[in-house]
Amino acid sequence: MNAIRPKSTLSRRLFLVAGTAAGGGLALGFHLPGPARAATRGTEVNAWIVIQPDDAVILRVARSEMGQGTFTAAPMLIAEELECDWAKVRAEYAPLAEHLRRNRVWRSTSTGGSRSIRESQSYLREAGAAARAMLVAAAAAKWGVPAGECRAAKSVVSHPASNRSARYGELAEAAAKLAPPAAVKLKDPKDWTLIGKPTRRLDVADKVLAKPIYAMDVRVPNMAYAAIRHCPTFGGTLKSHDEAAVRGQRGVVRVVADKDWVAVVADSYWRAEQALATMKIEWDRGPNAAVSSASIRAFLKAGIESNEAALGTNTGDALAVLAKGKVIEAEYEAPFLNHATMEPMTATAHVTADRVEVWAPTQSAEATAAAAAAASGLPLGAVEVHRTMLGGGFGRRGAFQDWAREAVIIAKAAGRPVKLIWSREEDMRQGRYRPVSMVRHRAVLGADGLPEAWWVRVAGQSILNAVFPDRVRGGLDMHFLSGFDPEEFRYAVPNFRLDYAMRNTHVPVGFWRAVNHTQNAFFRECFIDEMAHAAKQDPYQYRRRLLVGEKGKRDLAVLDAAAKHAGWDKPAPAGTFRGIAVQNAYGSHCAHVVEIAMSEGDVRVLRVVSAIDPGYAVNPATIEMQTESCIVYALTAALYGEITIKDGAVEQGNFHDYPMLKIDRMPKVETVIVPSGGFWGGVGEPALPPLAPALANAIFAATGKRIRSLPLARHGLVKT
Amino acid sequence: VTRRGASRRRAATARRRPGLSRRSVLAGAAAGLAAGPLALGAGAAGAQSAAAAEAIRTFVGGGPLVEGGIVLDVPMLAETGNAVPLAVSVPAPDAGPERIVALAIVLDRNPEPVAALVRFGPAAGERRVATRLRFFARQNVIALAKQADGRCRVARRPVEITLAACVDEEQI
Repeated sequence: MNAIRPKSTLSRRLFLVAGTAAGGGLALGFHLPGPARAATRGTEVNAWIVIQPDDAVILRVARSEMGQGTFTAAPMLIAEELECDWAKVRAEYAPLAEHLRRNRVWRSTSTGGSRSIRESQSYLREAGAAARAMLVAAAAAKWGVPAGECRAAKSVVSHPASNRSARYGELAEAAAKLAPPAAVKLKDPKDWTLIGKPTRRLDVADKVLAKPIYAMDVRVPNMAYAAIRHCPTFGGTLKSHDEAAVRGQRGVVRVVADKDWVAVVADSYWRAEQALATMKIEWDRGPNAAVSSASIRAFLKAGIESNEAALGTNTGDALAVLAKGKVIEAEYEAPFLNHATMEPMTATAHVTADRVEVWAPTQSAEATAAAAAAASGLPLGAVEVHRTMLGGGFGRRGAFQDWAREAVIIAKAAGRPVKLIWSREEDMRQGRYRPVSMVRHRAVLGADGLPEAWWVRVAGQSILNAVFPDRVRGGLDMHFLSGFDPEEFRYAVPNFRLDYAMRNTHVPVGFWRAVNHTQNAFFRECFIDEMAHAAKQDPYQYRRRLLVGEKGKRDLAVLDAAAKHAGWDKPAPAGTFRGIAVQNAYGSHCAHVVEIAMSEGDVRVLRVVSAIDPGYAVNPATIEMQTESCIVYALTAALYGEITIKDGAVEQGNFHDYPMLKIDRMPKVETVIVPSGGFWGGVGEPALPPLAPALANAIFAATGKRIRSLPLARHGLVKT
Repeated sequence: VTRRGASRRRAATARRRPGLSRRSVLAGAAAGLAAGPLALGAGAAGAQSAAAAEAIRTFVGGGPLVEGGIVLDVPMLAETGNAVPLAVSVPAPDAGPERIVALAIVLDRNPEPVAALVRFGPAAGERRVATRLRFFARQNVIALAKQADGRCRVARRPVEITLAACVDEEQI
């Protein structure tokens, strides 16, 4: 066996980390919790809150930071009620093994569905309020005064009547010994001083200094590297591999094979990848070797035309009205998309007889722990998950832990720590893709031009059917119908029929940022434009007339805000054209106005005005960033995004054939936050779905051409 | 004799299949008992659904409900709900008022909440059940053990299905 030679050169990042440690700062930053790091010093007032003698406040974060700002917004919720000095707040991950030992004291670690705030806000604020009450009680006991006469502000408890005060750092130890209050009263939103204020992120300074550790940066002693190849055709299996041929190659440690993949472990990633490239591998491609994008399209088309479909919604009698009236009909379709995270799938694992450690860029440390326990055969109590920063998540690193599982299997076989790195090509070809889908609209307009009847037939591949089949009843997957379902479809249409023809392909599908909202917003909001056009009405005013009453009021408010800010009432500047769309998703409401210029065969998005109502806006600064991020991701997909299938396998392999948005195509984004209060909506995804339809509607305004499928590159509208 | 329970659905499948294994025959018998009429009464042991509460009340049958006295071994986290391993044992004497006569495993958000129902005869030497169960969602496992004197022991453990986290509960 070849020993790993020590690295002769330090990477820039490692050098910076080492430099920081030598300088007496955080040894590895707060980003790599692990045995190397001493337990946080200070007093734990409750699981979320540690206070140090110098008043520094360390707030634990359970959900993952993947660029979306959770490391700042979650602490803001605690700090608002804790009444601590925000300048003294630091954030750190709640450690997973301790989390499990303490019976999931930090609740869910799941980071997806735009839920980090909306599904944790109550217990985070309560934790802050409880700790504040304990600090106040400790001070009151010390002074022998009623707690009701004391006040807490800026990390100081004071008793104005006797002019006494004490710092949180002085009170923490006594406070931690008190029983937590049975009930706490949370502040009235009007009294918030931190929530709702644009707040600088806690993690930016470290990022500028390259301190955070990403999965790709992880190095542990005696670590080897693995490269992997999966059967290109999904559902196929590994038939044979020429292990002997690579055994003697320089640096190669061993070969690990499983049902449908084979990996080479070596002393460097390059050697592992090279050995894999020279190894003869035979696949049994299985029953799907003839599947192509064309055959999938025909399969979905048959779903559109089928007489059998599961009924999602049926208001009034759309079929009867359609049978008599003048029918407007249109078919739309959307392709498979890959998450294409900047950092390919990567994880490091170390498995011993009684312990498994994983260093993972995970959207859920709990999901990684469950996968690691299953893959190692060890109990959950033997698992530690060290969370690294994520080089992009977008839904690829949460529910699906295939990459972490593989790292554990390989490391167990190798008997030493192994870092598994997927190549870009594997990442592109072994995704958990946004499903293909197709929609046929049929509508009849009334005398007022508004839809009297509307029948939406959806065909496509259910995600839940693959991962949670119990949630699909009688062929109905309501999750697939997001945006058309009764909760999210806010338009007043007297006769509305929604049905679904499930058509599952062999391609593995998953939760792509904003999931089924992305296809359905495109289908819905473009067809609304088609109906407005048929009725010879302005598409913005048309929507206004359909968004009535309590049900429509929040969609209407963001639509109005976007239109007003974009100047919809005035003609677009010469040579530019506008489109509009609205959607509510993940508890928030969002509308976009997109402004474009068209030249020969090239669409340029100049400006996106985005209005969002998340109920309460916790950190407006990160809401703006998330809106911009959604627009980058959505525009990339609208212009270029398409995964195609040939011989049952993905055709694309890298960024040359699955391009990303470049900076010269980035529009100006103007985010208008209109929080109406009274509810908590997510902000990580809602600004994504309205982009494609608003853009397609702008293209219609410019050219008179209806875009009913994506990407735009397919229509000759994007010069490369 | 230790009888092993299984979900009603699985038991039903087993009954349709020729060549029954001993386990599926026993499971079928248990399911048959589960469907039998039992008296209403008592509390719902903190169940999350009306169906589960009803099933628990039916099993408890009006006797007092006491916490503890059951060893419920189920993982805190599972990747999927397809086959969650679970073991329940009830330390109790072989005879007398504290003898265990029946054990129920309730999954309080499953569409069919009674996942297993096991009867222990007087000759049963061990009150222990191990199986794998299918979970519809993140939910509580509620184990109920009925004593000869009519008292009913209860233990519960929440199980998180990590994959379910990607799905908005309200959309289901």
